[in-house]
Amino acid sequence: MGRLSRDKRDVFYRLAKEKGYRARSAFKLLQVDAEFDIFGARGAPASLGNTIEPLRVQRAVDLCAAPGSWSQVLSDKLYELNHATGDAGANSDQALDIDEQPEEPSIVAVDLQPMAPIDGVLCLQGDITAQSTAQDIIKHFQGNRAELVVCDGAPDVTGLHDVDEYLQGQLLLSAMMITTHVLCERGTFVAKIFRGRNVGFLYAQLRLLFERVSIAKPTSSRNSSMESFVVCQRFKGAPYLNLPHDELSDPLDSIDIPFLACGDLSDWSPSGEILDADKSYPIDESQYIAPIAPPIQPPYQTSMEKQAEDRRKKV
Amino acid sequence: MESSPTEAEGPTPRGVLRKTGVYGTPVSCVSFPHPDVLLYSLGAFLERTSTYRASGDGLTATPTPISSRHLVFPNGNTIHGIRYPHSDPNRLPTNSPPPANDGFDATVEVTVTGPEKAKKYALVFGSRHLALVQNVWGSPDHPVMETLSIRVGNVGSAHAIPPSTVWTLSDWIWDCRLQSTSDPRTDTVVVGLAHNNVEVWTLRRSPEGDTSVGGILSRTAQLRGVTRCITYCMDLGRDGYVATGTVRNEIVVWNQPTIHAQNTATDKFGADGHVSGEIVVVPEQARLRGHQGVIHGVKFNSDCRYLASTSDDRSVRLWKRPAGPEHAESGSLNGTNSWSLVWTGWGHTARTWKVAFVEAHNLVISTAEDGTARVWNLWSGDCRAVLRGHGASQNVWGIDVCGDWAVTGGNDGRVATYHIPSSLVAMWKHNEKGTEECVQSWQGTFPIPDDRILSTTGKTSLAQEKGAQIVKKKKKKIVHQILVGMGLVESSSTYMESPRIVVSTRAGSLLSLNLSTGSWITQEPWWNSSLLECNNIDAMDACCMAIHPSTGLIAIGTHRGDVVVLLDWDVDQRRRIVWAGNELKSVQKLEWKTSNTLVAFHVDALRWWQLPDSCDTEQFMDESLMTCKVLVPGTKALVLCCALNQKGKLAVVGDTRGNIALFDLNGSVGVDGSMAPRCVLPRAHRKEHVNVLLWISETKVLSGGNDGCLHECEVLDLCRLRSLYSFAVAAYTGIDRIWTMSRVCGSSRFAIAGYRGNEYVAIDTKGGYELFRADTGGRQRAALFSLGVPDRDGSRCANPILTVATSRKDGCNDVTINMRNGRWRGGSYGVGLHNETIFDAAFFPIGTTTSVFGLLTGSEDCTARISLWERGSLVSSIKLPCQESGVRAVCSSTFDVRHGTFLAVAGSQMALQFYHVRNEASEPPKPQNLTITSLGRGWQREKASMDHRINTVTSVPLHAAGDERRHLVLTGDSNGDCVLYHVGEALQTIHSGVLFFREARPVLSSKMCVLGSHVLVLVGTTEGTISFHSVLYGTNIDWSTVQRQNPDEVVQCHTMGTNTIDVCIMESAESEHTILVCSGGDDQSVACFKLHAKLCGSDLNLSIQKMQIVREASRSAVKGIAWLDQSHFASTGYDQKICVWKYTLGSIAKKCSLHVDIGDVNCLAHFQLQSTECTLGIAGAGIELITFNLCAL
Repeated sequence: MGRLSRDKRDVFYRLAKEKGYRARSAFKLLQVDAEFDIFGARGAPASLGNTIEPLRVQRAVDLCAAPGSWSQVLSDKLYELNHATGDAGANSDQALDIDEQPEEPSIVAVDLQPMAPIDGVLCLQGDITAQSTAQDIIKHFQGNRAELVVCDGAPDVTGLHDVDEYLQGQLLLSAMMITTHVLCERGTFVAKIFRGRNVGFLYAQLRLLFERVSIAKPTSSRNSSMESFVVCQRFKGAPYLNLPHDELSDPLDSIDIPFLACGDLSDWSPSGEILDADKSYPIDESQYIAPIAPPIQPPYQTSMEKQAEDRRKKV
Repeated sequence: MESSPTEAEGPTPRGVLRKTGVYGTPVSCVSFPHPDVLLYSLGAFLERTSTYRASGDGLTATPTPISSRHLVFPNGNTIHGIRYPHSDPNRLPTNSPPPANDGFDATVEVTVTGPEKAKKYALVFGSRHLALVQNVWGSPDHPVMETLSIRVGNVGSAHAIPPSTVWTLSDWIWDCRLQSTSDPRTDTVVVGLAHNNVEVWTLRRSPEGDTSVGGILSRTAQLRGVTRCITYCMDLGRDGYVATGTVRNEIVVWNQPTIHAQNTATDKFGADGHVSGEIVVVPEQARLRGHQGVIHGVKFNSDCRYLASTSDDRSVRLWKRPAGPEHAESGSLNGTNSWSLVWTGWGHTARTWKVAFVEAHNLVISTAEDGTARVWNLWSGDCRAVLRGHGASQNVWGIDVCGDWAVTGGNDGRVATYHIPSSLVAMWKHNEKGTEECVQSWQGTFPIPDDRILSTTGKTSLAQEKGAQIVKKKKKKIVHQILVGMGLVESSSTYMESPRIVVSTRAGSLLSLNLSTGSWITQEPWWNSSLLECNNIDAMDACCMAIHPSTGLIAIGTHRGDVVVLLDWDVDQRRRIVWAGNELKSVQKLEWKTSNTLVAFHVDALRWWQLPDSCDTEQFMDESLMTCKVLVPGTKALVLCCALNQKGKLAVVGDTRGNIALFDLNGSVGVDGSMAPRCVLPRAHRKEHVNVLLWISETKVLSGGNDGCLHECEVLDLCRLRSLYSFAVAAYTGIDRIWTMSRVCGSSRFAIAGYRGNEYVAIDTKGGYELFRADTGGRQRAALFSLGVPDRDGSRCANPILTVATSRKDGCNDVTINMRNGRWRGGSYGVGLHNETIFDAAFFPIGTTTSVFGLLTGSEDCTARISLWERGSLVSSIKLPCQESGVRAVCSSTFDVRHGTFLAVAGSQMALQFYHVRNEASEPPKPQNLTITSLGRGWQREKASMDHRINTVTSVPLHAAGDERRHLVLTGDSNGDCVLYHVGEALQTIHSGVLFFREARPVLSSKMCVLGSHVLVLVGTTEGTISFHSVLYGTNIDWSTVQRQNPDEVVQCHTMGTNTIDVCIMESAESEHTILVCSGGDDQSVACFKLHAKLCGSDLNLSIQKMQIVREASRSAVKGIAWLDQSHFASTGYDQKICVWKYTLGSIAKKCSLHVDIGDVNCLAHFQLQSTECTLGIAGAGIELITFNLCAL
């Protein structure tokens, strides 16, 4: 029962394992994409309220990527997109060499922690607050900038609420800083945000850099979670390129940011109903799938080993 | 339909919303400025209490602390630290004792302060804010804490910022240091900020008599470390030492000795009060690597020779700076070698948070997420003690040390204190015991002398010698030494001066272990050949033993049902009395109830031997004086325990199958001389053993069993037993002992002991304070727990001893003694609430006055609590029985306060419990007069999966036929089911629910109100809708037929998740009703509308009017909403703000708002105090009370 308990609890956890994603958070990015067309795949405004035409994404950066589910989505989407357009252009030519294709998509995933490799993704182990990390990313893109930067990072929650919120805010600001070094003009930035007490300050900062900032809450994110996603479109570029990694100015006047619920994943569910992270769905226990990517080198590894050693000594 | 976001929010009128108190939140800041005074933070409030130590010691002192509460940050901000002026003689001496040995002779005595010192201020900080608080220590002359107003900038400067009590900096503050200077009116304030920055400020106090401003602040320097990244902690040490813990698993140490240079020359300041100058970048002295996770805590010792750190990797590390001056000029490169790791302490089973030095004893103490604080030897890193003043699996946050005492802050709003020397554990070395007087806890293993009777002499003894070799050849059958029983004899016994552990074996011997010397004494055997000859009792027949601790009377029971009684100290002419079994089966257990009462537990019955009180112990040997009663429960199980009530008329007996039987000892005796029970309560402890029974009053019995539960039952008239409640004690797998501690404040206080896995743990049930803990190595091992000698005041458990027998491979046995000497010295302060986030809360009245009220809360920690508030202060909190999983929703409904209140508690795994709470005594209500009765549980047919949970519960009082009071309860669950229960205020094991309606999406919120003959049901879902149903009710309605297919009306209020709904009845006439509905959603919006209900035949026709939505009402999900009167409502949510809105037809306008300190805000509860005043309770990671005054608006 133990290993099935999380399967029973969450339909998205189960779906993620079925589809080969390392974490259920993959669906959050998919749902955000369904609403905002962040990959520019549809090429036209996605919905009535969304009048911004996104760039077609060729290069993408995943910040705080571990365990890598968002990188998997980036990889799937970008290669799929590339194939779709590649095929259209190369229909007449029967034998086409891969090297001759216009340009392969390029994805970089950055995290402080080590991460299991993903096909078509360069995994960098580094600190997003370091200037050198930005340079490494640009180098991989051969001097170009990315059209999309995503960040699903969150510091481990300590339990002291205000400290957690501050640290999460700092992580988002760090992600924002490095984004100004690697994102091209009119590019898109998607990041996890905790809608807490001082979220207005973060909105204000983001509004400076982007023409349009929205808050999205996918249905795959639980109702009881403070987590939401900030979707920043059309990076203003020039005046804000390469911001120094330093403290920020005083908080600006807070700004109201439109909120959008997103969550049509009906094509994922067998019966076509809207899947809800707060609902429990029946499960076939014989179909158990083991977790895709168990943690690599967690901080408590040595501690666990010491405990096991102590137990052995006692026996 | 949609109104524009009206942000016509003027300045918040004063006094409309007022912070009353914060309770049950994580205590991140604790402080022990003096062993008699304790300070701790709850949100923005600073709480002060005097310690128990002042009035004696430990647990039994009457807690009459001089408490005081002060709101430091009126606009809200959690306090994270408090600092006192350094070089203050009243704090501990800063020079540590010489590191000579690991001795404990340094007892630090701190003298009380004079009034002048008490007036000194302390620096309080939290997030980006600082405040200076006076009179923090409290003294008769200056009992009230005050915040000084301070001004940033020069006196007379044109651009000076107006004075304020709160001083805000540009970045998050990790640490502060208040340094006295040679000028008594000037202090240096050093502030350590996130991003590895340090600012130095000078504080000049205003001259005496200047009341306009308390002090003036000017920034004199800005320093910056080289490393720039996200940081988690910082410590400012002496001589300008700075340590920063980073996200990169490193500790950065840098040093700027001029950091405290007194720079008070005013000519250097600019107009804004700041020294114009560059930010000084200070090179790093060392970068300490080794931790495998982010660094959560760093702390220098007083002379900065040592640095202790804690981390995500669950370790505690100590780093050392080499002696000598070379560090001062070292650059960042060679400087990396200047600090070295001394030791790494492993043992915490979760993340470690904070660390402190116990300078007086050369110890380091750390707090962690695993619910413990650990004490480490400074030199070796050995773990010397594990302190468990808080509940298991609870976060322990703050730590502070003062002399011999340490204090830790818990996650539930409580703080615990420890006397460190008395909590240290030592291994038993009896010859050295005299030298370690302070150590009060021992553990030692003693092999029991071999008394095996060898069948063939010589040969076997040879085999014994070469045991190992013979085993190799052929599995040699080993003769085992079989223990009959163990017992403790106190020193008051006339036989010997010291307490002893007495062991009897099936070889007939009696052995005792002197606890003072650790040596064994072979006593005169309990068995001799005459026993065999006269009574046909062989030594091998023995199966249990009981020894009375003070009289030394030994009773040994046999397979045949006989009992042998002898005197432990009767050395020369050992007399043995045999009470024959009289055809009763084998004796399983013997127990001395008093020195005159012995109970023998036979397989199928128990015998109760009693000597009249007037008789002497020695007359016990005279069977003719004894009275004997035979009780036969007839439950087809082995009897295990029994208890006699005070008057000696009633006895309860527990067995191995969870049954409790009641006997009337004055009742009739059967033909065979045995008594049958008057009543049997089946399965009180499921099918597990009932281990212990205790009469807590003349009619109430508390029992503990192997199901890990405490069970209370009541004796009704005609000797009937009624089960009151069963209560799973957190983490206990079996309860073995219950006893009465000393009486505090007139109410009895219980302690329990039992197993938590393989550990034997004794706790004080009042505060969950741990009295004793020892690892037994397995529950199957024979263990003897003794409370030790009663104290002068009769309180027990002064020095508990746990003796565990373990068999060795050679067939002999060891006993392991775990022992505490002397009273556990420590205390617990504050009223604890939940360990984890609170999902739901509901106020209810207790008396006719509104100065006392109750609050029901349900939390993720699997419990619901009833808390009592008196004049806005939390006075006590009672835990309701645990549920298997988190409690997600609670509600209350009251007909009339004199009849009490009905409560419902619901949560994960579809658990639903009903209670009734009533104030028994007259006004004013007191916590001990509150009677809580379980009314049984709700049951629903369908249960989809383990995460099928109830998200919301609501109830309304409905009169049923006659005088019967009934309540209608509605639950909404994660599968979208809405279930109705019609519950009476009488015990009924199971209340069945009726599936009323099924939503397509999960239900998040619900509300009901009574409109004439109808009940109106409102249900909110994750889709953002509210659906309405009206139900006709009457005295003879059949509730099983109220299922609905479609709602009467559905409104889409939010684009996502309707989290909360409240209703307010505006007008209610016979056939027409107007109600106001407001709701808050996950999409950050609030909605408000009017609902007309008109009676048409037997149906209510509903029509919705004037729907108003404020789309961006909040910056985050709205989690709680409540009507304050017919035109105002309040909302709160994850943005940690409470907003008051005015609803008029056509618009919603924000009137005022206030910051909330508790995080994770999940709900808003409302309690009307007067017509224009109410209390708002915001629940999340704790409870915050805010008073709303309509008149001030």
